[in-house]
Amino acid sequence: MQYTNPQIPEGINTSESHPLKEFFILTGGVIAIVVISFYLLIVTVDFFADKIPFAWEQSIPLESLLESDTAEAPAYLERLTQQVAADMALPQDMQVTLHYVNSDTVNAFATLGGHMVLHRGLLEKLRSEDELVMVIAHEIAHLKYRHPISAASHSLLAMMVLSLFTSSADDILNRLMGTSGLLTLMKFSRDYEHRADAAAVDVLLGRYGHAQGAVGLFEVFKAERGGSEPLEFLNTHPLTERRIQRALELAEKQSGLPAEQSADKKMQPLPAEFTRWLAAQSASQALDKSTTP
Amino acid sequence: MIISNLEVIPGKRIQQHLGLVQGSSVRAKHIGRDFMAGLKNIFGGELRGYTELLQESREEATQRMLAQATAVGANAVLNVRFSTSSVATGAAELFVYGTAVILE
Amino acid sequence: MVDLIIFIVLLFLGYGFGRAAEASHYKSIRKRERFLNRIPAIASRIPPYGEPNFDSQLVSGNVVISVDYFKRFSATLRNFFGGRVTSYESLLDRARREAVLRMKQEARSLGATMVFNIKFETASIHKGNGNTIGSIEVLAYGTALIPNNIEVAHTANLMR
Repeated sequence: MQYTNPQIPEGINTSESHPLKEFFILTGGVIAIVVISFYLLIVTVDFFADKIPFAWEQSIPLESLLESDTAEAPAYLERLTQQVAADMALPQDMQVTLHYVNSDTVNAFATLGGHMVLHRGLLEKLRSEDELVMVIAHEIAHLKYRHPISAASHSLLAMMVLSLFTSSADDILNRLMGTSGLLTLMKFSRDYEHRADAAAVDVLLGRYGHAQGAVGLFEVFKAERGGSEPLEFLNTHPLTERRIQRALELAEKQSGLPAEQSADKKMQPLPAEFTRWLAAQSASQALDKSTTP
Repeated sequence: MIISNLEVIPGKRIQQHLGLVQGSSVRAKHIGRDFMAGLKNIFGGELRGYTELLQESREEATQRMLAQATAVGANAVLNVRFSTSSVATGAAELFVYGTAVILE
Repeated sequence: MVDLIIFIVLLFLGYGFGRAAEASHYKSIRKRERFLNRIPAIASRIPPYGEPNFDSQLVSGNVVISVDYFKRFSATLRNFFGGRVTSYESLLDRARREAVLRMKQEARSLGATMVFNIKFETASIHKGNGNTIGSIEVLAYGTALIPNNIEVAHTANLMR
């Protein structure tokens, strides 16, 4: 009997594929799966979300949460809101509730149950009634298209799906999937913003015959941002530049008036009474701040 | 190619020992199977997906061991042993090894 | 963002150093395998018949190899889809050959001419965070046959 130990050739117990190639294919695959599944999920949810009765949405006790720091809104704001709501032909059962917050935050938002919140910070930046109508109409459009309930369902389902996927994976992979999911959600959020902008531009055209209010408002945003804007795909809102462009295109199409001609249309000034009231609000808040330690 | 976990094959004489040959394969189960297994872990019972996966993997390891045996010119692998170890979360290595021999 | 940068740096380091370490390890394995080829490692349980002039002694070799960051991440990704975890294959291949080599080295230092009845143990040790496995140990062990006089050594040489 003979005992030998011949050299065994390499590569029988290992695979030849390049590790980087595999890495990129797998990473791309994970991202693609998350993005596609989110996309399909969101499209499905959106189909059902606006069939949820508004009354059900209203029954969510958000009011107490919102009331905590809101103050009385002036009659002018209330009146304007109801006028715009009437212009937009909301569904029968939908009511818009206006909340005003006396804070420096430059923001306005609409949320579940037909609530719309305006912060003093944003109101102060506005230079005309057109711009104010643009803000209000944009938020009411969100409510009309049931965006708050859709967005809430998206986040809820997104969390459920991610927790299913990520139960066994490690931290970095979880974050990779979370981020690609989030970016997909943002894509839809930007679409919502465009839709709301379009509806608001319609309201502007109906009231004033031109859409300078939209351009004015976006210019306020631009000034507020201070020049540089991050990449669009990392944002819940589209680039301001693009929003301006879309508003102008839409206005031109709807009114038949070339953008250059509508550029010199005058905007309706804000009533003196309202600007005085804003100044008083600002002063009272400054006083509050100085007295509270 | 004869594969056996016997030391000797009855009625055949070993002409030459060619040393150790081995085959291994690392496989991961995909997330769907993970999910099903999670459910099964509540109710108990066979995890058919895993059974298949491990069997496939074991066959591949055996094929690799045979490839080594062929490469050194053997016509049988004797005293074959299997071992399974979990080398990564959700992945298992199937390892098989034996002595490559030339039978008369 | 900082997390992402750390992650990419770790991945990059893991890939670079892991690849370099693997290549040099393989090189050394091949060199030593050629050198230790004259000590056959046999998985059979029965040593050659009618050879009473051998001393026998248990020899073993073990090695713990850690998984680099890149390989670990690739394996985690692979977990998502299922299938062959190629990044771990070379790792185990290296560990097993290294363990056999260390065992043979010990046998050689005892003056053995053969190692019989080789067995392997594989264990994953040192769990990293999130249950990922940090390193694996491979142990190879067997019985070294050591010729106890010159005559036998000579016969053993002839047998090869």
